[in-house]
Amino acid sequence: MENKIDLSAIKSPADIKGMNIAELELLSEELRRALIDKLAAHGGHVGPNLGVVEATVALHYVFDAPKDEIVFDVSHQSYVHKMLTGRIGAFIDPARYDEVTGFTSPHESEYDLFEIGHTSTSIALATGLAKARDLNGGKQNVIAFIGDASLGGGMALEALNFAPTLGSNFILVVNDNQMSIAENHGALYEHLARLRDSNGEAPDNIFKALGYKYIYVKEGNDLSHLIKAFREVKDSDCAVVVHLNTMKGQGLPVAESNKEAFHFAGPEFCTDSRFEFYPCGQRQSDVDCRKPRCSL
Amino acid sequence: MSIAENHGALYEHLARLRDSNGEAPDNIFKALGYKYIYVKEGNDLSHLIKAFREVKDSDCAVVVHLNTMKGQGLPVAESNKEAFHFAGPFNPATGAPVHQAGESYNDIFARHVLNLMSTDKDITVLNAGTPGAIAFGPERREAAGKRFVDVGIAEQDCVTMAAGMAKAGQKPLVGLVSTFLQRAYDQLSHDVAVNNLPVAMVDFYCGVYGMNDVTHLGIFDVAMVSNIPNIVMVSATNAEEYLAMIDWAVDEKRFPVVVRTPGGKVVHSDRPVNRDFLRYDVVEEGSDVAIIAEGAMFANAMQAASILKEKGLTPTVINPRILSDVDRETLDKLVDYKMVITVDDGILNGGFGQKVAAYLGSRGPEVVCLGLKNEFMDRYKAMDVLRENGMLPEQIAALAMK
Repeated sequence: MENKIDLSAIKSPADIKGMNIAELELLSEELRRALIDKLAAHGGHVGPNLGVVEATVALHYVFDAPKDEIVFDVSHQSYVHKMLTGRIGAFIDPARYDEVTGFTSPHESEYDLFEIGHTSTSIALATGLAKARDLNGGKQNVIAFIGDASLGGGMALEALNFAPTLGSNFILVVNDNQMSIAENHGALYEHLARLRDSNGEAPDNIFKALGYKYIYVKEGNDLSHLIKAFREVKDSDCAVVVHLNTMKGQGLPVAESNKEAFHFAGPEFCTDSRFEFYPCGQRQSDVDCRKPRCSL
Repeated sequence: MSIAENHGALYEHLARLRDSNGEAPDNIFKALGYKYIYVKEGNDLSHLIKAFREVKDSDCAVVVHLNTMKGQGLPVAESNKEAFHFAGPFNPATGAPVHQAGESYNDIFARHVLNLMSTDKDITVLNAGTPGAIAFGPERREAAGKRFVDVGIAEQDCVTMAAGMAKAGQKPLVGLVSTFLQRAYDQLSHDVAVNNLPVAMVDFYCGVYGMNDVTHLGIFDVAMVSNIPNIVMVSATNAEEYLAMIDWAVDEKRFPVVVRTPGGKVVHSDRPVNRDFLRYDVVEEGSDVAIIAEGAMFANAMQAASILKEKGLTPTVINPRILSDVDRETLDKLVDYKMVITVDDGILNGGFGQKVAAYLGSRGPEVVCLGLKNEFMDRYKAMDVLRENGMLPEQIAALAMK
């Protein structure tokens, strides 16, 4: 077993299929470290990507993209996906940081199915892919990966209503990090809280109401639990929701405790956790956006 | 019921709630924190009054779920729910319509598309809760089988699902009513157009002859759609051209195409269809004055031309077809004309006429754009509106004679 994973050797998900759990955990650590280095220097969506390092590794470990089709909602959280699908150079070589966009892009890679930047479109896009698959007699998995915030969007709900009527394999991963850009608003979020608090057992389950099979993953940042859940739903014969409980900003203390400010942070943001951060939009300068904690 | 039958998991859920008298587990309303009351006898006054009294002056959000019968009290409506969602004048005893429907573009569309689908297995028709409006009634839906998709009243989902199908190499054909297409603007722009996915769309009840109440106007679709990059929008002037456009739209892989269904009575033409739809069609060659009119307004232009010819003038009459771009080559030939008149079957703002005026600029002819004002009309008479905006044949002719 290697003590360190050579990230530059990751050319495609095939390169992680042979890893054991310890190696995958090491990989996740390395990916997270590289991500923090790039984002601290270059800026980008910080919290959303740090929160899905393990989930993305697990997705590509269990599923077989690009044959299996993954649609990332908004796709601002697809950095780790890009790192695993042939674009690692743009994340570990500062000279190449701008080689990738901030969202999925078919121009970059066959693993990216759509240009996306607005929320709540993934489920509808995925139903189109699934319908086409069914008409063609295909067997691939179609996965929509959507955050709790985007799930409340009108067209996400429209597609949430429609997908079970396909009567075929449809995998909806709900990445519940309990945040929008700022805090969540809506009865749906109180509902998701009840589901989390009850380890997925609360009555009046909205997903079951709509005919989905439902799995809750309390440890949404733990590879073993994620891999187990994804394996359970792979090649399903019906519509299924995998509800992940994740931590936005996982692994970067300032991001974990300043979730709104670190949704998106400009270049050269401060990672010193002695400071609190105002949410102040895309560019954060040391002068404008930090304030000392009371204890300092 | 929707207009037709319901589609969506929500409806199976509501069925479970009804079947269990409101007791079924996983209640979606309770999931969202509502207090919930089920009224089985939704057409019984005592039960309704009791339920409404119970929730009056509530201190929280509450759902009163009524089980009602669509068409209650009129047997023909109860047993023909889809047909009697909206009906013109009819005989209440038999349900028979008073006025016999003539030929319609919608019917021509559906018949033709079903035919296409019998040989081309990649075509799927998508619609959002208005299958009757695109003439896919129960029999045609059954004939289309799995390749007719009604997503329920969810236009955004409809357009974006089509984008997903196009990405997967299928030939989705979206049929939506013009006024409801408005609800899917970002899906046209962000999902279809940014990705340049080859989705074919046909929109219905377009233009001044479309529906005429303030909330169902079909006069804004050109302004909305023809100005989104990558989308090619075309407008037909007769049934033969319309079907040729649909054939082309379905097979065209380079970009998304929106075909505008003409308003008004069906026009037939035995002039061979000019299939280069990205170019204008010069139907009559003339000089000095040109009239370029789209869709249902083309007939007005031709009638105006007849009037002008009787006065010894020889106008050029052009059917533009493409609304999202101008045909520069054809317009360049008009720079020595005295006057170019454009006629939009819709609002002037954002229509094709303004694009022509912008292109010709101050290069030569006086360009006069005719079309509807930027206003929400309500229960208008088409003839009155056309007259107010100078779009009747005799008015166009009078304009040209100045």
